[in-house]
Amino acid sequence: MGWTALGYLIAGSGVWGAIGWGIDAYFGVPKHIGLLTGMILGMFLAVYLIVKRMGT
Amino acid sequence: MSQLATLTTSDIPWPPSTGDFFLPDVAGPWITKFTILVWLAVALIIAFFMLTQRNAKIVPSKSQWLGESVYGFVRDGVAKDVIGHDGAKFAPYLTTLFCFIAVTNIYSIIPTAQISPNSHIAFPIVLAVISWVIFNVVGIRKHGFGHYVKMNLVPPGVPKLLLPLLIPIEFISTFLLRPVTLSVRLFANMFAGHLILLVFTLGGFLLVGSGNIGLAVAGVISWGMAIALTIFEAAIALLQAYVFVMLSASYIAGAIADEH
Repeated sequence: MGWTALGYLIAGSGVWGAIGWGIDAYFGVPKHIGLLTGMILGMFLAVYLIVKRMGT
Repeated sequence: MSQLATLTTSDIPWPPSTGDFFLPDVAGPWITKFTILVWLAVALIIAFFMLTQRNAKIVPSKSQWLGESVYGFVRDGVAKDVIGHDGAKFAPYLTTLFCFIAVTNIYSIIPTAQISPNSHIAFPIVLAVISWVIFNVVGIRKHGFGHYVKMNLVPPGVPKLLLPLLIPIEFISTFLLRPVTLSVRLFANMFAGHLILLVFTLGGFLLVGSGNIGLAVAGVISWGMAIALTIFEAAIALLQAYVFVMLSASYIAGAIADEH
């Protein structure tokens, strides 16, 4: 179960971090704001998913 | 000691590098030491089960008991325990997988073999892909393609607005990250184990041959560490075989589980 949770955390920040990085590169956003926002959002979503999938 | 003293620094391949994992071809580019080790592993496993299960009786002999306890360990301890009452169906696959990984891993500490084929990522990748195909196929067979995909990608009890944010994460972690972590975990453990043994063994030779008494003592300690780590490596080899089989079983269990 621990591996599944870790997988969600990596996938969460990875997917949305990559999308944020893409937005940064495409629109020329300074200081990696998209990447950082994406990674933090991804972490939130991953924790939410872990609670929904494996809570109780 | 005189033999040790003749080993000068230039004789010892130092420092250990990834180059140490690419052994010279034995016969043409298709037959390497790894090929032979894998063939040998397959032959050993076939021979082991043929010999122990030949004239199987209701009251088992000692050798029959040995073979059955390996199979029983995976069937009862992994397949039935993780997958449930459907688990016995998958016991032959899981046992084969366990034996193959255990034998190829334990090569890393057997003299003359000294290296596990699993320290090349190609071997773990193939094993992980087989497990990946199996858990997806049994899941699709049981639930139908659409339902299986929906079951894996759409978590229950989640507001519709959040779904576009969550589905990419579910897709990556279920269908891409699972085979990747499965293979990388096995590969990295065997790779690191081989490298650590090289560092302590070859480093011991370097230190002992350095001509400095303090360093020579450190070299002997380094050999002691190499022996301790060899025992540790044996435990890792079997543990990683178990973990690989355990995770394969839990992916199969997740794929054929009813709604949760």
